[in-house]
Amino acid sequence: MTRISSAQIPAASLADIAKAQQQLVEAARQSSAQTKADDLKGYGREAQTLVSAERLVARTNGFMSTARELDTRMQIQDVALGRAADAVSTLKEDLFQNVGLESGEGIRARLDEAFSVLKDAMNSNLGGRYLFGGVLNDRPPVKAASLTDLANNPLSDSLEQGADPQVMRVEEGRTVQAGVVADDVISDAMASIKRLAEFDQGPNGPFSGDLTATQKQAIQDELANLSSAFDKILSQQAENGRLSKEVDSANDRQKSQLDALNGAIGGITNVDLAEVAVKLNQAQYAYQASAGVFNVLRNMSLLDALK
Amino acid sequence: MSIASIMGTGLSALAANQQAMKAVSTNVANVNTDGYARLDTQFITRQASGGVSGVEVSIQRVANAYLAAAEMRGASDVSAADILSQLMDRAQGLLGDPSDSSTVFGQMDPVFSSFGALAVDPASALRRSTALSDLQTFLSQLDTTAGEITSLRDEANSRIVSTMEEANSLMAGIAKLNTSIQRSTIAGLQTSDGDTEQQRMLDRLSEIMDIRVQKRPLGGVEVRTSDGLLLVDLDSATLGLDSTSQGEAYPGIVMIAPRSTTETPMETHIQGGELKGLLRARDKELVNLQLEFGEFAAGAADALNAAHNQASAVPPPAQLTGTDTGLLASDQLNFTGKTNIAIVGNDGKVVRNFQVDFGAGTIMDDQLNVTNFANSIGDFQTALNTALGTDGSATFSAGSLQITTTTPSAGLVITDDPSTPALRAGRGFSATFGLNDLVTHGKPLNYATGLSGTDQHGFTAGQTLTFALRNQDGAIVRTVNFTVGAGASIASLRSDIDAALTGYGKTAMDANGRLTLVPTNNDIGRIDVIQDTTTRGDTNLSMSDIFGWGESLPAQRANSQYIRADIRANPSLLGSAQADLSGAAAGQLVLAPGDGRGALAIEAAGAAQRTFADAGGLTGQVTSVTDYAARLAGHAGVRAEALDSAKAAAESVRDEVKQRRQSEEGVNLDEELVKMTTYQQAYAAASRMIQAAKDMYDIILQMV
Repeated sequence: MTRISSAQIPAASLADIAKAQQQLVEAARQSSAQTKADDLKGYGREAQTLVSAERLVARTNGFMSTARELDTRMQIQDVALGRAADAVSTLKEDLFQNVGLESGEGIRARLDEAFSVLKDAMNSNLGGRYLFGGVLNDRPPVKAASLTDLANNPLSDSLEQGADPQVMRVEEGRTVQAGVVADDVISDAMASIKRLAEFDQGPNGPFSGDLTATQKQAIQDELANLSSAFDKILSQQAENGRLSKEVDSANDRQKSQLDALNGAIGGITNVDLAEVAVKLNQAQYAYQASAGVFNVLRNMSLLDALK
Repeated sequence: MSIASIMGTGLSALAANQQAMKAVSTNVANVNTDGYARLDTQFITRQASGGVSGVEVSIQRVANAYLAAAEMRGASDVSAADILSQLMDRAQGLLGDPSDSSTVFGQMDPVFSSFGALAVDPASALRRSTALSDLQTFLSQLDTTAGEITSLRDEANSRIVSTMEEANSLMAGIAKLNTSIQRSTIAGLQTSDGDTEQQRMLDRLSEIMDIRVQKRPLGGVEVRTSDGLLLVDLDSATLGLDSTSQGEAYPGIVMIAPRSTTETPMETHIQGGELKGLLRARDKELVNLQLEFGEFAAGAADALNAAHNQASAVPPPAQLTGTDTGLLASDQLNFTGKTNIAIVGNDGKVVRNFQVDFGAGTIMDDQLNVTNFANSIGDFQTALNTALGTDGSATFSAGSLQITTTTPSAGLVITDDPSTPALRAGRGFSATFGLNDLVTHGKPLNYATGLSGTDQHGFTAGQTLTFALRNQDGAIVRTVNFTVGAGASIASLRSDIDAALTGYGKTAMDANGRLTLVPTNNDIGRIDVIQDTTTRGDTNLSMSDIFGWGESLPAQRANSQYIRADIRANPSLLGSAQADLSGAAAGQLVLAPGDGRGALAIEAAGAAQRTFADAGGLTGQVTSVTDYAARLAGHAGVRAEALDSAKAAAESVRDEVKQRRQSEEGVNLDEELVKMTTYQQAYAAASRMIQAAKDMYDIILQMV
């Protein structure tokens, strides 16, 4: 005879109800939190991939934040480099006019203005750091206080020497230069300005009234130098642009990597809402069925027949 | 035959049915009592000299000893698996939600990112503070998590104590019932009440530990461990903590057998039940997690230190003080490659630059003056001191190298040669001596000592150390006291240890000077060190400190890691720049405030490959700190999941047996109600019989 103890009957029902409840709670948690689990155990074998991917996301975000800062900085540098190029170009045109008119009037003032603009552009700073100072960004790269200062001292005393460009990491295993150094940008232009200023202060100076033949020749010589100095500034501006593009493209790669990573993480953590809805329904049915069975069993007793 | 005999027979039926009704009522009353074995009533015809006369009743417990034993076995398996799974579930919970950034692994990310951000503006005080504060948060989190895992072990230990107390009271109860059941059996009395109570106690005891139960001839039971140690007969054994300790973190458990006063180590005899689960959690699973976590924490700190030792503050500090490395002046240098030690002015320009060529054994300054040194740390230190001349000094004592410059407005910078870097046991020159560490711990974090067999071991003969040989479950099966012998070299120390551990384990030394204790016996899972009074030479480190022996020291590497005190107090000492010292002449600019390459190197440390040693359940590997973190997390998750499945499997076996046992022993109300009706009717019929006999008497009396 197969017998069963009475205590087993409600106990079995209770176990079924508890199991159905647990499924309901888990389905409800998944549906509200929209994640498959909330601890390492819940993700089991996928926990390693998940933790690894999360670390990569954090690193990538760090690189992207550096790239964003760098991008802003390079835009400011581009404007400053443009101003420096304009200053040299304007000086060149003005001097060309002076030569054409054979007049020395205003040359000193023009040199002064070009010096000031170049100095101002190269001494641009962002949050107290000099953008064209390279690793020596705590001090202005153009040290000469005035055109006279520039003329009276060696060029190496007027421009900060020996600073390398700063480097920053914009993606894993890849660093880029944060820009160009003032000495590389304006040393030729400043040298021309310095020579003209020296000439102005020298025995064949100053530039005023009609230009002498020597003065005219000196200016014409420097016009050629200023042209190549202008080209140098432009090439440095182009280099700044190239670096900026490099940062941009690194940033783009980071973005797509981030998308891929987030996709992979989502694939592990996110629940399929349709699946959860079905699970929720199933859990509900299972609960109702277990409760129903209990209700039937509750009324099954010989006691009623013995009244 | 007499009318009186009819009345006697009727009376026996009344009594028998009354007893049967009592059994039914007891059964009904206990319908929901867990572990209750129902009473079965057997009616037996009473034999008298004249033939059959009346009825007798016998009431027996329907107890199936085989099913009970099977359930007890199942119960102890479930309890062991359940408690282990609970504790390991909580342990993996301590490592947090892997998709959340606030976990201990998530706290590591901002450290590297903020050093990347520092490279954008290395002189920024705000960025320095942010990087240090992120690092501090990470180190605190490591400490907290490690502390919480230790708390779980403490909890397992205190639960072991309370569970043993419960087991003791159950065993005493079973022994007491044995006495009373034996007395009742001898007196010929029913013992079913005592049996029921005893079975309840046995069921609970079997959840605590695996037991084997045997019927005693005079009633009651004899309880033994499943491997046969006597726990209960008429007296009971007492479980407790080992009263003698040799320095182990948690005491072993012992038993004082019935009628004995001797303590018998019990851990190897307990194979199931809550106690087993708790012991396995305390001595194996949680220890493994601690060791894995310790290796991760040490790896993270070591990676940060390796990068920071290549970096320099701007301006550089005038003094570099190394950590207690456990090395002696007499130790071989064992470096390859080149390093540069330079005195650099506060303006970032080289004042003096010394190139150390470990291959050639020379220190050459920027004026091409050469100082030679032999292959020992002490000799190198003396040579460096000579080379520095009036510009500085180098000392080496208590395992710590200190280099100082006396040049005004200048400091010291060390970088390894970029093409042929100085290396000892995989670490650069500055990193080996911890001259510019970022994270400090007080004791070595990396156990690759760089020592070789021919180095002097440096311990004093007669110093002692106690090895504890732990089995695969972490229980101590044997302790070995070791005394440092007369041999002076590490090779002779190794052969002495090998001799002491013969049959159980041996030492192994790799090319990086990592000296490990390897079990050679399949029954030995780990060789622990529970006491160590050795000190290496003038250092403050013991043999275990230096080689990372035992369970506690490697695990404790996750605790008490701090940012170096002077950097914490003065963030400008944070090495954010990197000096290109190779071939740099005096006057050359090598340090600049805007140079963030040092910070970049620290940022890259998170992804840099390094060697991780075997730790807990994770085998050694070469990988990055972040990947190791992922592997540790994955391992913890999978382990907890596996323990959960083991628990479910044990439960399904136990449930099946329990169902069968309940089906056979449990009370069915309908069955009892039918019996009740039957006995009620039989009782009524018997009383009618007596009434009939009485009527017969009346007839006879009327006839008189």
